Amino acid sequence: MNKYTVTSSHKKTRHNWLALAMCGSLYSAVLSADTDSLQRLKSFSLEDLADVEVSITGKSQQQLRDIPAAVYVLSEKQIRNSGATNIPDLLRLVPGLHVAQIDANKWVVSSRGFSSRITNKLLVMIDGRSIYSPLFGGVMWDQQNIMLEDIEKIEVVRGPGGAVWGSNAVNGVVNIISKHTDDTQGSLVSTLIGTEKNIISLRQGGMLSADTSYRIYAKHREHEESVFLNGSNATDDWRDTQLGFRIDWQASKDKQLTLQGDMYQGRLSERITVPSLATATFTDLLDDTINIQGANLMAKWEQTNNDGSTHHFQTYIDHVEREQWIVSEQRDIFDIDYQYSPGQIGQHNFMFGTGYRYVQDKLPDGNVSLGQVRIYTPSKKSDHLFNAFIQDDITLLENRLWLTLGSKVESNQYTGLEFQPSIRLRWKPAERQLAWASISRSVRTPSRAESDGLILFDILSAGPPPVGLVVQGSTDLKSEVLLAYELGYRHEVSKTFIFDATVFYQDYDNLVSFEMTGVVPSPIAPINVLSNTMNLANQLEASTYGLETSAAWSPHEKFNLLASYSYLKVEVSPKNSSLDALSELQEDLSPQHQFNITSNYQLQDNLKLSLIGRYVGELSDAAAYTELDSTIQWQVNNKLNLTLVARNLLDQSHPEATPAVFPTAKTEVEREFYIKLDWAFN
Amino acid sequence: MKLSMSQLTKNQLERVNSVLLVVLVLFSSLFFSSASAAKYTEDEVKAVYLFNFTSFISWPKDSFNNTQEAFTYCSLGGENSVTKVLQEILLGEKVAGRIVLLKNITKLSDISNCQVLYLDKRKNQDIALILQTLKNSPTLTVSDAKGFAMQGGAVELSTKNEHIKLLINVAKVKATQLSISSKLLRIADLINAQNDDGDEPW
Repeated sequence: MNKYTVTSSHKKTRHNWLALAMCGSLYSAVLSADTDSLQRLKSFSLEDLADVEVSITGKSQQQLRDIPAAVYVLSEKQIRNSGATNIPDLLRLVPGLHVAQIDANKWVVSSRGFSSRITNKLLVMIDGRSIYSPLFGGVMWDQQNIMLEDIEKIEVVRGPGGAVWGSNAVNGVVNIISKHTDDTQGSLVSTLIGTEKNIISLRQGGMLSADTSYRIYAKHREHEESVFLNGSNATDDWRDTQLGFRIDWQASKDKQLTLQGDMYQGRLSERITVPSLATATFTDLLDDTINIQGANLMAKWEQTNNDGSTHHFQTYIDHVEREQWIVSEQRDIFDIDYQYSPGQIGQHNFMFGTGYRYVQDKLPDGNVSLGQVRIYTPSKKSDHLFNAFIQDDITLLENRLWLTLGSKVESNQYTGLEFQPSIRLRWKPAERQLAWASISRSVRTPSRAESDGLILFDILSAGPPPVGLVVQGSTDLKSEVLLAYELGYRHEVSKTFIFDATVFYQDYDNLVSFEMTGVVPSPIAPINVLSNTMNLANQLEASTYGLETSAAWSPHEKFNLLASYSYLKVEVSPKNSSLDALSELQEDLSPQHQFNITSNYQLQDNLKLSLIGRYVGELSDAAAYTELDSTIQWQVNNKLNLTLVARNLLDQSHPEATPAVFPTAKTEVEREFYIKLDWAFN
Repeated sequence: MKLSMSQLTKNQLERVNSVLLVVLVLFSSLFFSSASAAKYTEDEVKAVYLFNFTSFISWPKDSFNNTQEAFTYCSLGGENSVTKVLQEILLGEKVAGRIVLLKNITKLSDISNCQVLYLDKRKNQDIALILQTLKNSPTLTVSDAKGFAMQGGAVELSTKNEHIKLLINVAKVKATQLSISSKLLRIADLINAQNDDGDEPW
């Protein structure tokens, strides 16, 4: 029925740990109004009062301040100011995250190192539905096309979240949270026309009954090609369409049901280098078409009882189909989760959760005669995952000191039982300050490809018989394990200045290595090649350390600044028995230094300018770069909003990442301009 | 190793600082006219609205028992984050020469003798029942619950695009014998008004 129930219940979804479990005293720290500024507000004329921009995130920001983890929330306003048109570009604004665009339809998004198109240590969800791919690990960003106008916020946790979120939340968790349908009433027509892309979005919101609201939406995108290094058009244009709905029913005062779903279809192009016996270099260029489609449906029930206890229940199904030269995949996921918190009992605030996930896939072999060698044994597989977690937030000193203990226990068919405990201490030295420390263990379970795949990557010599480079998965793989130590400090110095810093040391064991096993007769039955085979094993160790800081300063209601800086150092080393020769390459996949400065200026009541400066340090395969994005928003009247955006202003084009593993041809990200018209009406 | 890391960081931070400075200098001239301003919360703006209503709305004389009687704000369902701020605002204030009271009431039977009745949406109250109980007694009903004005409440505070908007049910206000100044009506969206000009064409 109202937004507050919903806002808090969003948290109570799997974000419960943010809102409830990790800190029992969220609402105890209600900011008493600053007397001076309140007196000023009191003197405002009616017109001025109507013009005052209020901070809606006030409450969640307060909650945020009390969370003993490296949390960052990207607000709706930041999303609007950013001028971003897709989720990876939005995540560039999060301090510490590394985002790089490989070509027009491929991105890298990672936290705390190991950036790759397959960033398998970052868990990403939309409204609590995991979009982490069990095939390779990582996220297929080209399959995510929700309306950015419908996002309420994006919550990001850097560092391990395994104790609550389970496997693969090793280096971070991203949860994209969509708006309640109460907040998307009426109609919206949004059209974007630009040098690199055209997007049209339509949304209709309304009431089905006095306590049930809904929205439906449709979105279509068409992206132009990026450029190859020589300036010619890269064949990576793409288009996709997504439809979806959400219904919220306030069943009674403290009970709420949400039903939501999406379906999509897309067609993307890429030019990739493939192994070939027909050319002198044993490689060939192939113009590939990627077809994607999928659908998902989700239901959530949330209930708060009079005694303060809460129940949260959610279930979803997700169907994904993907056809691509390097991979062909059909996958169905069924997931069900339940969470219960009895509320504060004496010094304790407990939280319990349990869940089950069923994953079933079909991975047809590639066409071997075309050199498209990818074989999965078995080609169809289903997996049952069970999990349970318990967490206790203990008040050691009233309003001063808390200890949070918890662990998730998970059972999967790849590695069996996994424990992911965490211990977090938080201390409030004074009002509006928080210092915290944590030690936690998180794991990444082997992906389906790492376990059961066999892929021909390259032809090394013509023979006869020809020798190929083959990577073979191993069913003996164990989970990658992280032990992380973090320290953080957050200080709301005044209402106009907030500062946040985290330092961390992360110690990894059993990271996946590529072990040369020498030349062996081909395991690829139909073709006569010798294989220089690399087997996957858990023979790498790594440690990372770094610093992530951010500050928000709003000296004036018409001007504010957000700045962030992050430092990261990664050291990877093979164990003594390992024959891995590639480990050093993993050290510079993510930048050591990243800066971001965003400034927003309210030029006039209806005119706003945002400037975003970004610096991303050097990678092993891409130079450091600095870019500037600019957004001008003009509220023409209460129905019409015009946005002008220029992105990557400092260079005609620049490279951000080099494609690895079945490389697509190297491309550069171009400077782009677009104009966006939003027409909202009832 | 650790040392060099912190030094580097310091250098980088200095760079950030210098950039901040430049930006500041560039733009401070635009804004020097007013002192530093904080951002307000929804609760603060709502509370100031509640206070300001007394300047733009007048209550009939017979809504008070005598000339000494206090001007009374009531919050049904007990204290909430809006009335907490209101409490602070009302310190030392008078309305039309009367002292001002803020009462947190819990029983529906206590709502008589309230000049302003605030219903916080987070309390999830039975609005239909409350409005029915009040009938057309000279009480200004205000709430931030969605659809409040539509349901027959007088003033709805709604949050749209990070602004607090007023939605006034004009017929309801008239029925309760309160008179609203045109100044207030001008900044509000109106429903049940005789000549509906709340919705401008664009």
